[in-house]
Amino acid sequence: MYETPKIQAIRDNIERVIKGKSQAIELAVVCMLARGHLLIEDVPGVGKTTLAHSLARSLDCSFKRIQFTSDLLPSDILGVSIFHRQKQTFEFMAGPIFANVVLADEINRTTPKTQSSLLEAMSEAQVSVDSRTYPLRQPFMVIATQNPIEYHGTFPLPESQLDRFLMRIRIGYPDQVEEKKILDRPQSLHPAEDLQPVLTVEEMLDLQNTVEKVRLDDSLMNYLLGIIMATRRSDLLTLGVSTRGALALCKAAKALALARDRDYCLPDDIKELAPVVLSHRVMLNRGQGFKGRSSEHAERVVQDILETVPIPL
Amino acid sequence: MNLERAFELSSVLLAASGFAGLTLTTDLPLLLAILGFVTLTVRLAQSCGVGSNRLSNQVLQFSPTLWNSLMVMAFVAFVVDLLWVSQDLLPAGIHFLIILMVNKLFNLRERKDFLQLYAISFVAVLASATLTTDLWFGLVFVAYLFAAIWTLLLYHLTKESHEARLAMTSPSSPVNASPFPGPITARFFWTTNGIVVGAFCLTIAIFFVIPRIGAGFFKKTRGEVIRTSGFSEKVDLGVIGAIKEDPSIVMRVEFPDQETLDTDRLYLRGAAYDLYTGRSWVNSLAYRRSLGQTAEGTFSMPNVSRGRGAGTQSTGLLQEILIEALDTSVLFGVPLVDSVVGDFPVVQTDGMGGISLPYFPSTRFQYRAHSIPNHLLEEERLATSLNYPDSIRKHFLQLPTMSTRVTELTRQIIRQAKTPHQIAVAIKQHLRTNYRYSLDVGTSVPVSPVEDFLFLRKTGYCEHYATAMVMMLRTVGIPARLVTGFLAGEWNDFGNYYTVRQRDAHAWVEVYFPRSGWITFDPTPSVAALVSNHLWTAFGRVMDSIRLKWDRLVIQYSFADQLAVARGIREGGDSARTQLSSLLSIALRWAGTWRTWFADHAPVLDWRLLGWMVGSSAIAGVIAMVWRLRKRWMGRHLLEQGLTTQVAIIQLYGRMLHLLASRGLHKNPSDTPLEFSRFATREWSHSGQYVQPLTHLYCRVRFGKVPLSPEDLAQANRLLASLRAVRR
Amino acid sequence: MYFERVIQFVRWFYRYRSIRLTPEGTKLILFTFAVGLAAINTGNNLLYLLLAMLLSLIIISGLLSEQSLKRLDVRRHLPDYLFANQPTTVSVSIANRKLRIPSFSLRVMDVVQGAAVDRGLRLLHLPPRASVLLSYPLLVAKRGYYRIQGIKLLTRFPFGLFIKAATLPLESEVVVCPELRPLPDALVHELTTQGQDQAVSRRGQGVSLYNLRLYLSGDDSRAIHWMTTARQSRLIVRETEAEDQRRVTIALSTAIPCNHHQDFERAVILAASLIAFFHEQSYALRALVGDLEIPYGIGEAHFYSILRTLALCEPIQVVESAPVSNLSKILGDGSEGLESILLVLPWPDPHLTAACPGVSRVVLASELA
Repeated sequence: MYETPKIQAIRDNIERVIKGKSQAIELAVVCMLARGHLLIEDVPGVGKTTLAHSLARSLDCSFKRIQFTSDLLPSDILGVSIFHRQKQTFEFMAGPIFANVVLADEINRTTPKTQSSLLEAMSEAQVSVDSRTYPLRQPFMVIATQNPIEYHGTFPLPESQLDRFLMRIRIGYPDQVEEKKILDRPQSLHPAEDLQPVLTVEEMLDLQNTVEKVRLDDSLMNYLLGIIMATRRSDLLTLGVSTRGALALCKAAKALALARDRDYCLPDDIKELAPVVLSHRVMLNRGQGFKGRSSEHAERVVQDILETVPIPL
Repeated sequence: MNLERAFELSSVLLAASGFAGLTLTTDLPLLLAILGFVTLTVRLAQSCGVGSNRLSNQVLQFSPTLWNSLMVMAFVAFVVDLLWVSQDLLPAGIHFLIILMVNKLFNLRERKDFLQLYAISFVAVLASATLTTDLWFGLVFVAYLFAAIWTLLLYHLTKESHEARLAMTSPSSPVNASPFPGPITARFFWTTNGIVVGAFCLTIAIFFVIPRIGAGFFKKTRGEVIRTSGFSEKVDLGVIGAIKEDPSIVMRVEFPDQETLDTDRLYLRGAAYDLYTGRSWVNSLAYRRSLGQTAEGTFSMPNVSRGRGAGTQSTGLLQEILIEALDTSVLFGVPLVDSVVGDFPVVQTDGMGGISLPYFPSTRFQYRAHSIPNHLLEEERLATSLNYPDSIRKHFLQLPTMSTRVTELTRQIIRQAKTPHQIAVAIKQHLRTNYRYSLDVGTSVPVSPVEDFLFLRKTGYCEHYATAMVMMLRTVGIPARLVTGFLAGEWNDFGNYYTVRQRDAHAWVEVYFPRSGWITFDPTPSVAALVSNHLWTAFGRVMDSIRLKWDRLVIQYSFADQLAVARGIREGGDSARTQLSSLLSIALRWAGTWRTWFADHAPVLDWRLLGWMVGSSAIAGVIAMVWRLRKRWMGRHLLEQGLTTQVAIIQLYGRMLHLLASRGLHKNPSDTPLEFSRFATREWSHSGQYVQPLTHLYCRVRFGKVPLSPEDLAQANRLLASLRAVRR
Repeated sequence: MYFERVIQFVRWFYRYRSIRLTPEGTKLILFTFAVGLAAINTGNNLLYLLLAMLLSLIIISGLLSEQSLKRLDVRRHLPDYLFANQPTTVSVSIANRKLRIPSFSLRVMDVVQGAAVDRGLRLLHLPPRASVLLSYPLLVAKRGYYRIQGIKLLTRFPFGLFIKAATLPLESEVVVCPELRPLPDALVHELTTQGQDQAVSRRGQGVSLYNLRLYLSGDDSRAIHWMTTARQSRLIVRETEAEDQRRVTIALSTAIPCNHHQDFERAVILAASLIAFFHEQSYALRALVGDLEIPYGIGEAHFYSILRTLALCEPIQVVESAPVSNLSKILGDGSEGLESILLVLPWPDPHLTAACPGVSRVVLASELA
């Protein structure tokens, strides 16, 4: 109806490279449309890098990958001012964060100090180095990944910092049929390299502006708030969703509606996005020390809460 | 109406049904009845929220001590009542019970007050069960069952919600879910009524199945005994006349073997008398002998009293008689009774062929009688002279001192007759034609009632006619005796039985023929029964037959009946089929009798009334139909006017949900419309083509605020209609 | 065939259902008996009718209450670890799988060790195909395994005459870790300063400044400190101080002479509290519980596995003069410099203390207030 052909084109383009993960691709595109950042919590080797790279390639945007290690310094991310002896001036060498799509791989491996440098830059959309500020590119999206299994020697992002990510998704392994197709395909070293851009940067900025205009009916707003209230009231959660989280859900729902060929939101948009948008913003009850993936448990709790909130008729 | 209100209302209804039972089945002193009635109406009105609460508030404001002192006073009154006024535990107890009930109705504060009220109402119903066998009890019982189930259910639900509310306010407990939806929904109402119906059916089933093993150790029943006369050992002339105006029902006679009798005069023989003292008849052969039992409960008469002219066993007439509690122990039956089947320990007979029980029955009871009437043998009819045995001569030719005028009259009458039979017929005809039937016999007591009747007044009723005939026969040497009983003429075509009333008491004559036995002659002229065919009496007949069924199936239901039913069930298969076909034929016949009944009564029915009834019911039906359809038309009209698109689409979607719910697909409140449409398509694939476009339209209009065009609306209605037509 | 089904039904009923009378129900049964006796005595059919009504009420009550309890799916969500004496929330979700019939007046109880424990959960009305989430606080006093065998659903529906209970075998098991208590200030102070005394500044990877020196070839160019370089016009490199991964070993002796369980429990609580304290300080932890060794590790999972071992440890009865346990053998090797070893004892045991020279500090249970 609207801009759908273009959004669909992005998705199709990425799907040429990543098979069988259309939901994750849709969410990534939605995240970009909503000007948010994406956190992928998943096991290694499912295509996180490929996804980020393909997204960047489809939009003809620049793409940088930062592999986080435990000895990474903030300057490695943000950049550093180098003194030119000849010119007697400092020259700023931009770090990898000055790209459109930044893949922050294994963000939980690095020290909290380094993590916070990235996160602050994400939220402020600018970098301050040596008392100078440098704005970041637009559109700007950080795709961070965390390995949920290996906790040894890691610094998992604390809940208060997770709030900065619009949604947290999981890609997961492909199903058997798809995996076979992947194995059958001729392997290319950098599959995303072969992609052609389908959208320009200006068009993407345009789309991002259009998201604001998507209509959210009053009753759906009440439904959304109902969900938020339910998380705050629930006994299983110490901390419910904050207002920032409610805003995030609202924005994401509008973006999803746009991605699906509508200029109005449906309850389905809100219901589908609630687990990915809200589950990393809530804190499970203390004393419920969960061995294993507490992220899954949080998602389960949010799903349960969704089942108890009635949809307006 | 919310739960609390409904609970109060149903508790008051329960008390009311108990009270109704008491009023309808026993007679209460007027004051108590009025007091109870007023209390109940006030409380009912208060529970419904109607009317001012001032009165009851004022009463409620009486302090507890005042109520307690009132109760003490009432208890003292009860003791006084017991000892002096009623002198019987049950009525005094009932009066006290009503006062207790009034007290409780004004004091319903805590839970245990309600429980006490229920106990009181149950005791009331119990008391009325023991005191009556009336049809009204059935209605009271149904009302009580209805109120009891509603009350118990609401008691439980309100108690639970009280406790839950208490728990929620206490700080230590966690928040709990789903309080009961406050007001009573229509669904709840109809479901509870369904439970009531189920309970009723179960009650009936259990009632018919419980084995009746009681031996009635303390069987003490109450009820009014109908005072009748004319069947004791000595009967004064005129005694029957005293009850000739009494319309109370004495017995009901059914014929299990055949539907109707071809005659409409049914003689039911009670007792016979041989000795006439001039003023009264005495049975001198009153020595009673027990009858032997041939089969279980079957008592057979010895063959001696039957004549040879009697037909064989198979031509006998089987009657089923339900007889009220009379103050006579005589068992009635069509002459001559051959055997009696009933739940009696002992049955006795006297020398006159009368059958009686050794005790006065205190309640209504039923029995079967098999009768074989005596036929006059052809040869004896033509015989010119007959030889009577000595025993007959001794008893049945007795004459009191009478004037010779009787003899002269007799000889005058029988001048033409040659055979004894012709003599009897001549006397009968003479009496029938020459004397006027009248119940008015004047106040003066004549010296000789027979001569008074024959020569002076020339009017009288059955006793006079019969006595005169017996006397006249005896003067010419023909043995005859007086028989008293009932002459039934009222056929209830609704229930197919004869209704016998007090006023049908009758006396007639039996003449002895040596080989044929005692043959019936009735000299009383028949008076056309004034059967008013008013609608009211017809209705009365319907009620009476319902009363008979009630009595037969409920009150008199006994172990023998259960055995019969059990045996019947065991003879399963074939008999079930024949039963079914016979049931069908009965139903068809019922319909036929309805039709003929209507046809018979139609000419007498008020045409206007009938027309009115039919017309009004037709109009009512049309109005109801129009009302139902109107809503639908109006709804559609509203939609087509495009009132508010939102309302319209929500209504449409709501109708679709309702339709799918009726086919078993329920939407969870937390399912989105699209999720539900996917679910519906999965579960019922044929619905997909209608549900999906409807859902999409709904989403577009509702959330996208796209205006609803008339074409869309029409198409949506079409889709909905097609969905409705599809079967799952 | 029917007979077998009847037997099956009876067995199922006996195991999974139970019926009790409420006071109102007792009164009703008494009434029924009274009316039954009166009916049998007098043979009055109307009394039989009333008796039939009472019996049908009882039967309908049974049928409806069974309907209320049927086809309810119950799930329990318990956390995997609990702490003794610390309240936690357990949630129970009940789903009504019936298509049309709601359930009324339910009470949910846990079955623990054969007895039903009332959690105060009341559900007045559960519509068909609806599910609801109830939660209740749970406090377990004792460490170890906490098992819930099943769930009992009770209802008094429809008339409040009988209490019908359905028992569902829904097992849950959770490990209850020993209670964590805050350590007394003196002890905290002592432990932290002890750590600090042991810290030796070294060059290594870290954040804080250790040294500024000239750039030598081979140095990491990221380490160049540009500000100073600008000032001095020479390439200056910044050296950082090594961030030690601090290590601690907590050892708990499980050998106790007879009947000093309470003291042992206090020792366990102390050990757990120490572990928690050091975990918060991001130390690498090693635990020796009796004969069991849990090697060094860091992180949440490691922490919980140590707590689990502490939760499940059992004291061993020993006679006074028993040979010293493996504990001393492990500990006797002496520390490797930077690690501290804390030995937790229920009471002073000079014998054991002497046998473990490498122990940095013996912590007694009595020190925990």
